[in-house]
Amino acid sequence: MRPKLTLLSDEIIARILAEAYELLLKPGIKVQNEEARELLMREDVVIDPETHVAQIPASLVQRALESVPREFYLYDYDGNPTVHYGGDSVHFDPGSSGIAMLNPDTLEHETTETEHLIRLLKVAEQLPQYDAQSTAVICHDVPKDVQDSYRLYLALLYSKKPIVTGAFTNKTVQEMIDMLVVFAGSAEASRQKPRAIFDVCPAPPLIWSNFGAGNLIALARAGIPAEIVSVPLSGAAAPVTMLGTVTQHTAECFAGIVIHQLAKPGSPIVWGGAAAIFDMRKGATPMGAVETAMLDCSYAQVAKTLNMPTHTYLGATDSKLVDAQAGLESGISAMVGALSGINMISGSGMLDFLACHSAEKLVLDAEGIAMAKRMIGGVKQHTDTLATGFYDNKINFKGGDFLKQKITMQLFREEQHLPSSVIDRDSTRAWKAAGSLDAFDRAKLRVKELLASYSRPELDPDQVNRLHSYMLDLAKKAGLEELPRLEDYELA
Amino acid sequence: MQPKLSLLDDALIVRIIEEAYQLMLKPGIKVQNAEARGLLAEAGADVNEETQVVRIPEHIVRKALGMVPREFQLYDYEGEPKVRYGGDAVHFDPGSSGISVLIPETLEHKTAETADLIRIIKVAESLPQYDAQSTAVVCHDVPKDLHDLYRLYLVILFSKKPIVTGAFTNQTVHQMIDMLAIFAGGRDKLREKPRAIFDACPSPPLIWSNFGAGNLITLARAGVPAEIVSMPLAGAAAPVTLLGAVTQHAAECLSGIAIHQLAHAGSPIVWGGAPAIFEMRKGGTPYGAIETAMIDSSYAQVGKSLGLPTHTYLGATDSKVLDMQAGIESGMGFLVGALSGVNMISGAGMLDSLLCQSPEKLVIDAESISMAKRLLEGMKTPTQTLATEFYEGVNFKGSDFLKQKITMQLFQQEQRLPTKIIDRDSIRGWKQGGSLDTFARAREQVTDILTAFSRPELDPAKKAELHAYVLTLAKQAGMEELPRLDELAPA
Repeated sequence: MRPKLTLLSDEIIARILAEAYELLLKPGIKVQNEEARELLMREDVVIDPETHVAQIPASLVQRALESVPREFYLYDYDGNPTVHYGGDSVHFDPGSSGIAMLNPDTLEHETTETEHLIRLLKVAEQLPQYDAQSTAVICHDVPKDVQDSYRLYLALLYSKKPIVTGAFTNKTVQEMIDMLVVFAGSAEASRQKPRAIFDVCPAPPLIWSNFGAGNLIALARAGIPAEIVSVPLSGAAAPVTMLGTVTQHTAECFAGIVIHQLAKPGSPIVWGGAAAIFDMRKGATPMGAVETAMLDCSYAQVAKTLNMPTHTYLGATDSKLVDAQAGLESGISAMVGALSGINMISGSGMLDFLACHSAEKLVLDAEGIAMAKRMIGGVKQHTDTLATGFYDNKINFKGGDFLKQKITMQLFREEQHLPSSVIDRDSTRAWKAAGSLDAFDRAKLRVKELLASYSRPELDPDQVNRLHSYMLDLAKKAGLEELPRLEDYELA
Repeated sequence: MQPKLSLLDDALIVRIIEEAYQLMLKPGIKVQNAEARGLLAEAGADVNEETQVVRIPEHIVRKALGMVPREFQLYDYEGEPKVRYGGDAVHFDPGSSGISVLIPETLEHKTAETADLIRIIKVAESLPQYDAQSTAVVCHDVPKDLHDLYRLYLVILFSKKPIVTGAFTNQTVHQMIDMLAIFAGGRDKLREKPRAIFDACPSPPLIWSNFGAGNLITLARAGVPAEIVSMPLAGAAAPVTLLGAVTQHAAECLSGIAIHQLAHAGSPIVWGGAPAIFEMRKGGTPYGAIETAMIDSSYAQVGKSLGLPTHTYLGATDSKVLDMQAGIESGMGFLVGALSGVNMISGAGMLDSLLCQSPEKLVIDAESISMAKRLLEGMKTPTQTLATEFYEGVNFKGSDFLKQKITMQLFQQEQRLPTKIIDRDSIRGWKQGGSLDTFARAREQVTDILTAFSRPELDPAKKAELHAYVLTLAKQAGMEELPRLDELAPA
């Protein structure tokens, strides 16, 4: 039996849906993209020509919900389906909003460049807890115009896993789709077996910007999965109550799904978000707060009643370091996400309200994720009897009796997740003998090991060259004559 | 609606209980206390006096289960009910198996003494997340014969909260009950409003030792609540499977309840434990492992299906210091315990697989506990409509809702504001604050708490009586004077 966390009764869910439909009419949804407005007007949606506020009727939402796929897969480089969006499947990927990275030696939050992203990709690639890569940090050593496509370029070169990514403009989303097509072989192939999913964000409250709506349309038409990342902030950009925030989240997702399905019915789209409460004292958006996790758990439950694939942002911390706060916030929220059955949980590795990434945190978060995955694996029945079969004649009321049983050695690995060296289960004496390292010290060592053991994936050289020249072309247009040198590649 | 975690379906719970009944017949329960064997024999159990193995038939246990109170309360010094054992009430107390304390300056795990326990009591007393105190560490500066009762003595002197404690012998359990009776105003009053609950441990597999069973009998007769702490170690002292360990736990608890209720029907007793998986590589008992938490959640579900109050050990870590591992393991442990609706969750403050206590960890754990408690409160409906009424005057601006009066009225009800242990500053603000990590902030908070602490005002006559009682016992144990508390813990 799969353990599950639910926070909403059926009655509350019905009320959330009903009020979300009301919000779509009043105050309505501000749609700042002309093409999206045209799609809506073709369906007789009333739009104020000056304010661009659209009143979207429930019937349109219901039609869109009917044409949305209930599930789909992301595929790895070799074409294997490795991420399942739909049902209660649970996957994790590193957070992808980073602009800085923790330097483990100086503890500075360094502005990120190419080398930082490569380090994160190499670490995430080797940790089985991460089912997908993300385009985790911005590389500030390339021009702004190519910062989104360049992240994807690096992920494609350094990984075989599926990729959670996102474009920053309506122009670059097309370019990034083209880049995926280079590796897939054709537009049709990249639609059949999508390697990547694109985050697309409405702006709270109740706004689909020119860029957000434009991305939805481009992705729908390309048949590349879109992931709505609705970010209501309770008390600032959304109602102060958590249920009010979940309702606004619902309305923003509804409106996005309508635009998306009007552009191309049947294209895959995910009910996702990065909701947060607003900390009134600090003016901050605490991603490690349990209330934030409760918002996520709740909106996922709403999505599941609609049979939608789900995504959220959990497993991050507001701490600036890889410390106890980072552990408790990331651990608790990863567990809440897993128990909520959310298909893709982004946020691992992240410190400081999603601004800063850390490879060391990624390896420690992997242990929290392993625990969460073990939990949703539930208790297992390996034996005919639950217990009585174990008490053979050799059991004689001695504490170590069961250690001698063959079945103990056969089954303990199936029952227990064996953590990596970053989790200390030593005696104090052995721990001291090994240098009295804390979890951060051990994580630093593990990151070094992973970087040393990494070997870049074997990719079709022809595809790599085409991708590289495509990227180089974009870079030149953005005023960069040469791309940063990649140690692992010799690219012209 | 209180959110809940369940790992077992009804059919599985039935099988666990059925097989637990079978285990009580074969291999049976080893009962090393003669009086307990006598009680069981009288009730119709088959006792082998040579091996001390008792085959306890189901009807004896069923009858006992019929008489156990479904709920009861623990009371504070003032006589107010503060801890409810029963239903899905959730409380937390510091772990109480410590033999050492973390010295924050040196990071040494120092052998614990009186001053250390006092520090822990003061910190736990000041944090509302801890509904009860525990007799958290053994004080090695007093003779062994006094170790258990001396811990209780200190807690009574420095706290007004209910107490989770335990005796180490069949003699001292009587003395500790006497000590509680001094403050309650007699044994009858103590029975009416118990201040403390006593942990009583079976020995895995399937053994009630002379001391464990003796404690059960004494507590039952005194009407002072007993908390069974069954500790099957999956793969060493219990079957390797989580379900096998849960079944053995059930058999140990059921047999304990039978002994306890035969001694005095209707006395309060709790379905509790501190099981763990066994770490095959290191030979350790990882209390921070998720599988350990899964055993706990499962046995609590079994206890609840029988209508019993519940206890467990969660929120501890196997780490030696207050690092990210301590945060992950403790945070997840509290979360699982709270979502399982366990009445008393012990383990806060503990490092190193329950060996080492840390006041700094207590203040950090308090934040995780707050998060778990907030989650249990669930989603609230403080307004008439869920959302629509908030959009008057909202004009598609990101900060529209900040200006609403209702935002200021409701945000403190919706959000729990953490203490400074939790950093929510900007990176600039954090640097200006000294770039402190969680452990450094915890050290500051412990210092603040110790500075602000004032000893509870207790009846001086009772204090004197308690002191005289414990001093007599100390002298019998060869100690002429008790440690000077005023010096160890200046007011």
